[in-house]
Amino acid sequence: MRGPAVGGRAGLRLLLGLLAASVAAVTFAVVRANADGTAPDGTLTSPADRTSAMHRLARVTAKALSYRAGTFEADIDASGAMMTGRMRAEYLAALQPVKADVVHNGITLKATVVETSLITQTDRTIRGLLFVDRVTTSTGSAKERVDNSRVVVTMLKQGDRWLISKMDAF
Amino acid sequence: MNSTRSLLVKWVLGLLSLVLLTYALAVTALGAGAVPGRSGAEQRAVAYSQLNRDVSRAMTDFLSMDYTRFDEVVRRVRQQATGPFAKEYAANVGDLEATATRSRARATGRVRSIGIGEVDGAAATVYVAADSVVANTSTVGVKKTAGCPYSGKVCRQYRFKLSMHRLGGQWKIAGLELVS
Repeated sequence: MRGPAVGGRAGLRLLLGLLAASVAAVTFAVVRANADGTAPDGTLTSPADRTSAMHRLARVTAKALSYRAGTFEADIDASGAMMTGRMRAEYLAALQPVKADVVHNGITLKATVVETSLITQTDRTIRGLLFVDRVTTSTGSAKERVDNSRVVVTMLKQGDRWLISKMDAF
Repeated sequence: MNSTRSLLVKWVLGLLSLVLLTYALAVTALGAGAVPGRSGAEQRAVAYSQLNRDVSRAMTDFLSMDYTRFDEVVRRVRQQATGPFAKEYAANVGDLEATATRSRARATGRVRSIGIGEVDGAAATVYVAADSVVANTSTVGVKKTAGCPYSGKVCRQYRFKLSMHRLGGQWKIAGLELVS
């Protein structure tokens, strides 16, 4: 009779230990889930993620919308390298026809991002609204032309790289 | 009797542990979505969504005008204003009414895009790309163009920076500036 009684108490202790471990596991999982900056719909909400995304958008947009006559080919190649294949094809198709004019007139286009904000952000996609000032100068004119635009830029994560997949200025 | 009770207790403890472990695994796999109530991230995502909705409505109203229904236009904007912007708007209503009535102004506002900058609890900075189509006594002879396909009207494009404050579940404009 003594054997089974000891075994019963040992089994009870084991089950109580298992219950305590289960409670600890649930607590840990819930605390970790709540601390995560990802909402159930995939939206990233942590300030660090948002700041990082806005910096990325501003950097690539300023670069993609700028060029100089003297380095035109290198500039658009570098910008194209930051884009998805389809976007790069559209970008080059839009800029190659103006190359002769840019080089001939010594045109420089400098884009400055004055404000950056986020429309959506997940771990695979970023879309932002940027206010961009573009200043165009040329060797033949002392005047500069300033264009204040609104640009919506979409970036996709491909592998470990973020690439521009769409850019709408309006 | 003791043996039966002991077995029952063990069954209950075992079952409870199994349920808790299963739940812990579900939360680990599914994240905050499996936790009852809203996580911090979910609350922020909902706030972004409400912010978008409220900013869109407030800016559409702010950019719209109908001199024949001026009081209604002003009432709508004031309902969505707070703080410094509400005071500034109220102080300018008289001039706005005189100008709108004299020029028979009508305008339709359209929000093209909204981006959210910093969000800190009940305060947020929001950027808005918006357009408006304006008709008044000075636009009567204006011909339509590719950029503005409306006869007798002019098209305007804006870049706004807004300070938004959340009051009673609604985001209101507390500050508005043009980004020129």
